[in-house]
Amino acid sequence: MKTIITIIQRVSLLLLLCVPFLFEACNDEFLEENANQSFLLQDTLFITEKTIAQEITLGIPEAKNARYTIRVIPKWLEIAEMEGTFDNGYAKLSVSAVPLPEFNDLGFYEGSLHIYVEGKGTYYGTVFYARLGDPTITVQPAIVDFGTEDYATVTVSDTTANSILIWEIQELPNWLNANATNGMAVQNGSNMISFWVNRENLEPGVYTHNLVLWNNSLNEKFILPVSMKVVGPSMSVSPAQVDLGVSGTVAVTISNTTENSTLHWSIKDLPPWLLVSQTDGTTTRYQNSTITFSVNRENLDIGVYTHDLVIENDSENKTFVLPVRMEVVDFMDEALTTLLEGHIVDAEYHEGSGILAIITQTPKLLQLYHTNTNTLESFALESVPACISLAEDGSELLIGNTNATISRISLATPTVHQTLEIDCIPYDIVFGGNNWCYITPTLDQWVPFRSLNLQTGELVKSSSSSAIYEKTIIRKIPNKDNLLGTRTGLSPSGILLFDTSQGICNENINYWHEGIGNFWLTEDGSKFVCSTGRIYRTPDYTDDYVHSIDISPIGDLGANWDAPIKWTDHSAAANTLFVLRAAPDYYTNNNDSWIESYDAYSYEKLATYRPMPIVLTIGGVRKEYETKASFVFASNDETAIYVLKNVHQSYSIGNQWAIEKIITGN
Amino acid sequence: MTRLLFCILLFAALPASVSAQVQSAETSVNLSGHQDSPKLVLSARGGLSYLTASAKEDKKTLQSYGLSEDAADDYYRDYKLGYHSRANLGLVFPSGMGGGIVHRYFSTSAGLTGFFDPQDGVHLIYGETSEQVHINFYGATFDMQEELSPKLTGKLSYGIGYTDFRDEMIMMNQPVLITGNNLGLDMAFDLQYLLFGKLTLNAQLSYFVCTLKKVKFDDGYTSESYELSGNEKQNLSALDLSVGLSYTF
Repeated sequence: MKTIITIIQRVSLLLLLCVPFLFEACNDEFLEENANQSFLLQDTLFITEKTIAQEITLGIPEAKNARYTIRVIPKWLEIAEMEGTFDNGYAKLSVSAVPLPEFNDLGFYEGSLHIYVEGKGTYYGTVFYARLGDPTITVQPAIVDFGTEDYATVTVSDTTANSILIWEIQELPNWLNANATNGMAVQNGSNMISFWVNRENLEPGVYTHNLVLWNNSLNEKFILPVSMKVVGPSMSVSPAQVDLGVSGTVAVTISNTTENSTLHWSIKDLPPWLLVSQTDGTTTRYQNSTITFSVNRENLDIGVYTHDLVIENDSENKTFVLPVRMEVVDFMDEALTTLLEGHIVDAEYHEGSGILAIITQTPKLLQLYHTNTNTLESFALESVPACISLAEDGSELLIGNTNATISRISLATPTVHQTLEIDCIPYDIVFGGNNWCYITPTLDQWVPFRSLNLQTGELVKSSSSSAIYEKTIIRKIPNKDNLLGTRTGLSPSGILLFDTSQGICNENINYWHEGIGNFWLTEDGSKFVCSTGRIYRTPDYTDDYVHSIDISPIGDLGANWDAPIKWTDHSAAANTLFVLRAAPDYYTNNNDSWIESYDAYSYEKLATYRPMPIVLTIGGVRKEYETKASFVFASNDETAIYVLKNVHQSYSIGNQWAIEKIITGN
Repeated sequence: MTRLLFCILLFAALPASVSAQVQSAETSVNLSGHQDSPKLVLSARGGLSYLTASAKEDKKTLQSYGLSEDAADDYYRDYKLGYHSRANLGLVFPSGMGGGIVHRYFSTSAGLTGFFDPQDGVHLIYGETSEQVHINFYGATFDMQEELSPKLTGKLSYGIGYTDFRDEMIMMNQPVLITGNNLGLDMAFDLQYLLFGKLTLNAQLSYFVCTLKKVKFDDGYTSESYELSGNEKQNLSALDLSVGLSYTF
């Protein structure tokens, strides 16, 4: 018994010694254990007063499967479960709005959301509560039909006074763009949305789409039908026919005249002689593609070649037929080309006799080309010629010389049988046919008009010393005692109408204040064509004083400022106007020239002709030289035109003029 | 650290006791066996404690954060009722007078989970508010005992010493460590029943008194000390009811 008591006593003593250790007095690691790391939440939560038990997914990938506790929420937010577990970094939260009187004003409230993730720390995020009221959405127009237009505007309005309308377009079709895909209209406010379509690479057709404007009105899915049309490309080709003539190239423009589609085209079935810079291509909307045609005439027989070129394309018409014409000629055939001496300064053609009278400088020559026989006669002149005028009957001609003399020459025996002195350097001269001729000076600005009696040599100057201006062009109106003129040195050059019925030119000169440049009368003198391309009816002379602007064009052949009209001739028999267009001489890099034929009544363009090259042997080298035309005359047999042409000045070989006969086939 | 110091002292006392028995044969002092010699007594006891300070203001504070009155009552009911342990080592002279050293450890805790209103007008905080309080008292005692019957002895003790306070608080999910110290008084009445030999069963009613006038707050980022005044002063007074054993050497 004593032993047991002793044991109990010893154990009790031991327990007494151990008691202080049985109680944990403190924990030195309290703060460290509860230390917290902070992170920002990437997502922002947005609720409205109508949010009830809306399930949202919260993503914190690094949370993996950790437990979470939502530690801070705004008062107006209720979350069904404040604690839970992430599932592979995602947690689903059921959120509702809590209507509280202190958050009852219309507008937006911002609050914080703190989520504590075990093992990670606390994530801090933002949550918005919107008190939006009960808006009513109105969209104007309710249907958007672009048709072929690009732009449209739509107004989204809230027609309720005490509310905020929030709207969003979540998905646009790929052909539709908008300057805004969401917005907010506050208390009767409105938003304007600008839409525009992109039709690029779309097939032709009608495209429709129902745009959904998600919003917070009762009509939460407002449907806005949108439609637009894609029109296929449209092709135009200019010129509509290609006349390559006997040489040179022709540029053809293929245009896509639609605004929406890209034109694809391809040239099929090329004849072996026709060369083209590209055989297929694409032309975007409102753009042009230029292709250049040229001809390989090697080993081709002489003759006219034509071909209807087919341009396949994806426009509505699918194919376009482009007629191509070209000629193979022996352009040094004497029947077609005649080389001339000297530098041509003026020329006139007498239809009745078929004589083409040409005056040249260096050497000073009168060259008579008989178009009926294709023969050329040359006569040396003593003075340097400046201008020439044939009598209407073709028996005589006058040459104005730079030494202030007039030479009178009979065509029957081409010799100068009369030389008359005048008081100026003649710029232009007209054989009046009534033993009078009329002269305009080259120099001295405002000058009197000159009338010269060919029998007596009497030179009569108009009493007005400023009747005309230097370098005035004058031409006789056929079968009338009237001259038509224009002052090339002034702008506008004006139209002058002279009366020569009394021999001496009438002091009263009718005047129209119109810019015409050079001009050429039709055979009957009823109309004249100007270098601007405009055609006027020749006014009748009146003794009244006329200083008018009352004259209007009656036709227009079109202006081409790169190649204005340089000469024109009318063939009444062929009812054709032959119009020579040529690049101005100051264009050093452009020596282009061609002749266009027009219907003299309808002014419809008929054909285009280009001067052929000429073959010259210079320094023992025989070579082709391109030429540029300066004069064109229609033959009296309706079948040809005669072109006076010179080699391009860019060759730097000086002048080499030639007469070319171009068969027009009329 | 302080707990360790106390244990060292306690262990140091044991060899001293043994040494005293050895010396008793050589000198006239016999701490263990002689009727006139002082006796070394080691006792340990534990039991419930009840903090006597009023929690009225604290409850109001909790309620101001959006808690219900019941929740606040529950919280402070838990808070006020704690437990304690005591260990004494002392000498008792034949006259019944004596003295020694005492260690009192007190702990209580309370906690709740729910929504708190931080009074910012916008937010609610969900989570935990809890406290874990640790109070250590180390003091010297003056004892008086009177034999009431052959087996029953009554004993009165007065102790004074150093009080260390530590409150590990989580306030709306934010950890805060509150520490402080001050002089403490301890008054105890023991009834000792001799079981057999040197082992006595004790039942004790005691009252511990201490008030903190200065505390230090540490949230892990900043640490700051505050002087407390008036009602702010932290009253740590508690009524202890405990049972235990004493061993008289």
